[in-house]
Amino acid sequence: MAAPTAEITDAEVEAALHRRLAAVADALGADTADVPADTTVALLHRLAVAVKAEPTPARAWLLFTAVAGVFPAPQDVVDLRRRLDLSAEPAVVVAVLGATIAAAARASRPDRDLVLVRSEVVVDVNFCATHEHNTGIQRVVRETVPRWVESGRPVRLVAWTAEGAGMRELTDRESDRVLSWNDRRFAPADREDESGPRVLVVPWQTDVVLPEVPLRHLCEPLAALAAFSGNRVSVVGYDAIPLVSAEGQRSEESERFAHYLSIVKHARRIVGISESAAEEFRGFVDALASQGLSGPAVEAVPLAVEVPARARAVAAAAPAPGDRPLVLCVGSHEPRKNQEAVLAAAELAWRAGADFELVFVGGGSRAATADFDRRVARLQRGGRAVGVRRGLPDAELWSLYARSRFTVFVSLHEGFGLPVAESLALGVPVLTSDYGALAEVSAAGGCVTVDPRDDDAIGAALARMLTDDALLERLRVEAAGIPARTWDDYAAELWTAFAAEDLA
Amino acid sequence: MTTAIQRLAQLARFLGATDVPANRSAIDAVAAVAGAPAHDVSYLVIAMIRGAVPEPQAIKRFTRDWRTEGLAATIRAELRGRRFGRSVDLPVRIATETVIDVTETVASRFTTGIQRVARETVARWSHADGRPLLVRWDRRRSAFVTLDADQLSRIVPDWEAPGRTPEIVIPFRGTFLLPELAVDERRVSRLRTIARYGGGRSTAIGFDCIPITSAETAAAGMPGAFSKYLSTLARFDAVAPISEAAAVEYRGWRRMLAGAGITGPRIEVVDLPFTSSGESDPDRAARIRDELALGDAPIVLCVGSHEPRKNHLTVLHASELAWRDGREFSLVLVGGNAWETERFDRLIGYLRRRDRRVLTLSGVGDDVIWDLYDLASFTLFPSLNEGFGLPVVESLSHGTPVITSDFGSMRSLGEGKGAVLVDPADPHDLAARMIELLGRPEALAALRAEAQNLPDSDWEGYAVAIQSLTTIPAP
Repeated sequence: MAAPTAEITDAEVEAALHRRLAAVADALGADTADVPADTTVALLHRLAVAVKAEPTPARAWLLFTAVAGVFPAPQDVVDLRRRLDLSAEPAVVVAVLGATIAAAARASRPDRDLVLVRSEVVVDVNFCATHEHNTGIQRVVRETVPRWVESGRPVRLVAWTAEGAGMRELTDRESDRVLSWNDRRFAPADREDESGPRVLVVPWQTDVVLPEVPLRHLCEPLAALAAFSGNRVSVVGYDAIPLVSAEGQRSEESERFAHYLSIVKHARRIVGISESAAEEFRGFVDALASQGLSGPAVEAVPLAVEVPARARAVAAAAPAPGDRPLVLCVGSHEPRKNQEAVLAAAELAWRAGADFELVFVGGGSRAATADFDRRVARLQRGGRAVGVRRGLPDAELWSLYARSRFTVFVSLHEGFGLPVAESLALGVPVLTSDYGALAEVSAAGGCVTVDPRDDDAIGAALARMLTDDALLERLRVEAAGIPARTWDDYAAELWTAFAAEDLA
Repeated sequence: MTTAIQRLAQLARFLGATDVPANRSAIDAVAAVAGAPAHDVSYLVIAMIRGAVPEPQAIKRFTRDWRTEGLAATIRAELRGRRFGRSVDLPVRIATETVIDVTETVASRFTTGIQRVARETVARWSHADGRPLLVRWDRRRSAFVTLDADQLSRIVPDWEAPGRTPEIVIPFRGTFLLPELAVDERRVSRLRTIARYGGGRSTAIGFDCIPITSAETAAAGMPGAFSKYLSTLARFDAVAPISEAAAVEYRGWRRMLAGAGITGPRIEVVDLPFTSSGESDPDRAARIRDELALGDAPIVLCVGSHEPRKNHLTVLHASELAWRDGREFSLVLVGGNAWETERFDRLIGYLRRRDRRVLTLSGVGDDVIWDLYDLASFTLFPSLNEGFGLPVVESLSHGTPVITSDFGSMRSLGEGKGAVLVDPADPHDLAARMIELLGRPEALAALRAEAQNLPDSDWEGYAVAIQSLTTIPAP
């Protein structure tokens, strides 16, 4: 990364510090009318004395941010309060500088300005703003946040400075990535030369919404924000897979999730994307009593399910009569998604005389797919009608749905179960798991549910869905009757949930 | 030294076959007596082929192939695997008796905390149903092996040494106990295999879930490793938390499992006993006061490792407030195993420059700690989260009052038994209670009187409760 600091003079650094201090003076209730405009130390002294006189965590958090130009970690806030408490009034400036100097040195540039946001809801869309990636969480953010903006909700979107110094405005390209994903004004690009706006956006006595799971290095400043800043933090809870199903996860992912929980435990509200996801976070909240915390209020607002009209049109085409029935299994390839069980159950069904074609669709790392693909190839050599399609364009996937008698999604653990909901929205019945988020989404109809850890149960359900035409017809009718749940619905309900003053 | 074929012959005999030759026809002998495809038999077969408990993923795959290809063909395919048909340098034993994994306890020099729980429990194990088999995870072999005589003597000095070479152990359809924490990734995955596929009953002692519930205080790497440990405990039959506060954490975690379709273990609290291992000795204590040049001022003691969760910065901060209030006392901090100590060291330096009487000790013997408990006017333990606040118990069992946190295990251990409860995030609250105890001897005396009525519990009762929990059939 280029170091812009080389071109910044000491005078500019001091001027920026002065402006940051002036920007928070009013919020800290410091009387600075008689402080000469060119005496930064006098201004700092005035603010430090004001915070020492009323040393709440929130005021220390704000003072730290203004002086360092960096959002503090939890221990930074505690340390500043300790130093202020133990220092005599003439020495408060030394105390503040001592507490902030190490963090200030971390900042990639020392000349940032600062603006307080006091009445808008600050929405942290850091990952979506800075990455082209678009699955799961990013899709939710890119459907929901633009609707808040369009419907005039008082939101201020922020990302983080590259080194995690603090929240900042989005660039035009970043806004494009978050707000106009389906209709981009700029060419997609992962790397950007511009270092981002140099103004820190500091929420003060307002709401902060985290619709993403933050990157690991942002968990500490966000935990401090949630615990100490006085802002009310609300969180979208996707799932607890990195903890509950840690055996199939990279340790770094589980580690990051545990640090994410350090934010959650100081949040005011968490809204699960399903009742099942909410229940996972309720369990975590239960555990907090042992450390004297009550934790956030927890509720569920289920995600929307919308499929493109074009997809519905393509998928609506009926399978050609006389074709061998097709069973489709869509989902990224990893042990949790349980494709191996589907393959084993299909083999049991084939051996029992069933005649059908099975197609797996979804990408995955080589480590996850190599053994599976070998098994598929062996079955193909044995004459089984089975295939794997990786990197399939959307249009081809939709026509596979059109040809499918039903889909199979017997994942071991999900936060929502999008492949089930999408299949139903396309009018195609689903064989899915009988617990958690998948049982929840299947409750609307159109599904047969089984224990995904029981190959025999999966095999028996496959056989039944292949032969029982009356059952399939009933499931199709059920699927067609499921009321649409739009992103407009979700965005409005999520906003209401975050805005609610108190929950029972 | 055994080969895979020899071990398969051993397995065939274990499963009831007679006249099994030690050649490749042992494979057919196993297939003849193994019965219908079942995960626990798959587990045993793979374990004997490899000479070690396998990782969980291997078992489902093996059972699936067994169902479609037959057992003999599946065994032959497994033997062709690059690593698996190997010889191992130790005999392999299928253990149907109680197996206890004491890996960390054997390796550790520490005699307090988690290690002590395992030692005290195993030492008091009733042998009415035979002696349990103590094993440790051998990283080089990636297998559980029995202890040698030297290792055994470190855990249970009273036991006669087994007088045989170590064996690799495959627990099968017996009782399994994990009385300590396990965070080595391979070990944790094999424990998951035993719990899920070993066909027996598995129980773990649960200390706390702090690396998850207070990740901000955990050492780097610990929350990730601990997550895998918990996903293994999810497959155990029972977890015995050491306190109600720890149980609150485990019950919350168990509630989270529903999303993965897992019921999780029964959570059965077995409270650690309210005992101190230290013997008081007034003469020795007086000598310690001299040796450490503690003078005549009252001693305020804080025992615990210097890590963020123990909140020692607040202890130093509150002490300074008390000194500024004019109180005279010596602050003694005992603890090793320090990390993230930069702020601690700086604050200590600040206090020393102000001529405060603050002494930090590490690596001292247990005797010195017991003597300091006797010498102290009171102790400080304002931790941010504890499964079991051992220093609270140690202090009170020496009759020495403690100022500790007003929630969780610290509250339940100390309340009404000689503890003063404070908000550990508030140094002024802590300082006010220190000043009160330093200035009002009658307040201190009242707390000392409370500490005379401690609950009557001992390691014997604890060990009996754990042992009976390991043998209760699932409801």
